[in-house]
Amino acid sequence: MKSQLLKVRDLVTRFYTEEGVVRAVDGNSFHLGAEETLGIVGESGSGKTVTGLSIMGLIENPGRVESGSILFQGEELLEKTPQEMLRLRGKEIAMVFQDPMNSLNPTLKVGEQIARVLHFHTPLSRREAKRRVVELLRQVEIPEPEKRIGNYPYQLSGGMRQRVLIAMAISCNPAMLILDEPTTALDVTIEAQLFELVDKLKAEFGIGIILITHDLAVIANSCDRVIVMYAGRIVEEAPVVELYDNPLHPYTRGLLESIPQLDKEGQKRLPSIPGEVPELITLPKGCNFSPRCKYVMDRCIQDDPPLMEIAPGRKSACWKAGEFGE
Amino acid sequence: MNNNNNLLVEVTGLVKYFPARGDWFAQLFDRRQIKAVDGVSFSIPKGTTLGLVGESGSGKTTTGRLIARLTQPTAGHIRYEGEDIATLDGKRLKSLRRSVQMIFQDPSSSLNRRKTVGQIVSEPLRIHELVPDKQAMKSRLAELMGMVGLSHHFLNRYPHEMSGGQRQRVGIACALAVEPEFIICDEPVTALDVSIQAQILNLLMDLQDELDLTYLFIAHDLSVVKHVSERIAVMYLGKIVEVADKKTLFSDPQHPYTRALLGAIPRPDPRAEKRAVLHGEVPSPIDPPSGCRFHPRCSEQIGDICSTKEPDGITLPNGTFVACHPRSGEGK
Repeated sequence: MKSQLLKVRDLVTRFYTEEGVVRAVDGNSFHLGAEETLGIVGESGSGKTVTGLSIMGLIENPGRVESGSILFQGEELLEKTPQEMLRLRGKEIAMVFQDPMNSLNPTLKVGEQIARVLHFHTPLSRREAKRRVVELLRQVEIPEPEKRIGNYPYQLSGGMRQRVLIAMAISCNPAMLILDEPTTALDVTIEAQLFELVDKLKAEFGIGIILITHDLAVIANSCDRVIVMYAGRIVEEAPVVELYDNPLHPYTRGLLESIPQLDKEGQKRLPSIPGEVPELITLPKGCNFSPRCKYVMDRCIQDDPPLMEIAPGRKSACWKAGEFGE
Repeated sequence: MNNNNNLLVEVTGLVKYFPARGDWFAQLFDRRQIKAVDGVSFSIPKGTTLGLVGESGSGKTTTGRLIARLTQPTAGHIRYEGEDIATLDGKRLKSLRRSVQMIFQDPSSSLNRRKTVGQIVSEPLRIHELVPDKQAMKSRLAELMGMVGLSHHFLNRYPHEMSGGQRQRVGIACALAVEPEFIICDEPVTALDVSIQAQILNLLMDLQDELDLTYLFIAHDLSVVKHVSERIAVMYLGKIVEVADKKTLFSDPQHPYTRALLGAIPRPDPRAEKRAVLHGEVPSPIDPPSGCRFHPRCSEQIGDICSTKEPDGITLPNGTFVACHPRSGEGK
């Protein structure tokens, strides 16, 4: 059994907007083991990014982590002061965001940006830090790192910028890395290169990784375990192979059916999930997915199904989950 | 293959260069050009879909905009129903716009956010004077909304009050308003959620059956392109490297780039083989590599010919077009 790196329990994050209270993350529990890759998959508004930001302590007004517990290496993150979180972020936990252009400072050379992280968290001297930056860029396979440290972000391609951010994220040897749609803005050949790199770094440094994405194909390729989110809730949790072999929630089933598959022949119409993702302000009574679900029954509209353990390691928030077997 | 009468669109030697610098003053000193589209030829039979795939910078969007005549080609011919439309202007260009329409990637930036859906969709009808009076306009709008699966209540709403999928349906309604024969779809589902993508793809395919539409379907996602297209053209750095029937392209890809692209696509299957990784990045279209543009990244080079001579491309017995020296039997 791998040791527990992160344990999240009953996490509730809400945003108090003028239109009403947005229940972005609504009482979710999950964990991450050391050297494990956990995928969080969901569509826009499912709460996957807010989950990542809550762990990082980066929820800003009008949002608030309302209740719950986030244990990281046995320490409660929700009780830490902003100062303590500042010392932790970038050192023990790091996050890489979707759009590298927005995460990098356009007026600073990339080498300087990585060096600033090192200066903040480590006692390295200027010269040592510079050597370390070059070494980091080499680790993320940026060609000619000695030259690249003098480049500004706009002089780099999208793939190279994302590599710089990964270099920055691993600069202080973090125990956990959160990747939020790290390749969504990139081409598929560049995406394949980056995931090859992530796999290499994971094996080399034993980092626990949370991979947040909407792309079920990316999840299938890179994760050990997956949680599926819908409208702020975890609706299914499973080891990756079992999730794709036999999904136990109608939403997961619908998602998997609705993606066009390269290796499948002869489907004319794609099965699609009817309707739209609900507004998080006016969630339906009962199960959030019930208005779009083809297996819906009376109980689903009345009773909100909790995330229940169906089999060892397999959880689903559906009253009919037990019937989906085989 | 298809006889020529059936071809709705025929593109030969299409070229588009952009100046590397935006303003005229900088251009005085910097005469370099971005070779966005550099000698592209293909044809689309009536009632079918040609998929156009490639990575960013391959020139696929520019190709689409050239055929829609949203930009002026630098050289080349675009024959639409036999007539060369590459140099049309004025009235005749306006009448072309009735036959050729475009659907864009991001419906939130292609729809005017100060207008209601009704005003947006009625605009093409007014410009082309397609409805005689208010009553006819009303019923035509209702009909169009029905065709794209939206309730007529949406006519009074503004784009920001709608979801991405609904906005893309409005974009499709706009395109359909003038009863076009040919629609250029530029990444129409890229910005949408997975569960909504399938809805829009199904809608586009249903409309094609109902209205006998011809599509040029531009996307970077090969799984999506494969689902909707009969034939697929693969672009790399301004050139078409391969055109093949969808089945042939996937079962027997010829060009090394096509193979690399197919290998890099993640499958939604945890048991699938690890993705093949194509190393390096797409070079700059300002100064593309000599010879075959793919040669610096290619693992199947056969010698100097690849780096010195641009492959003309040949059509193989199975109908596949491929621009690659080893495939043309050269250098052997």
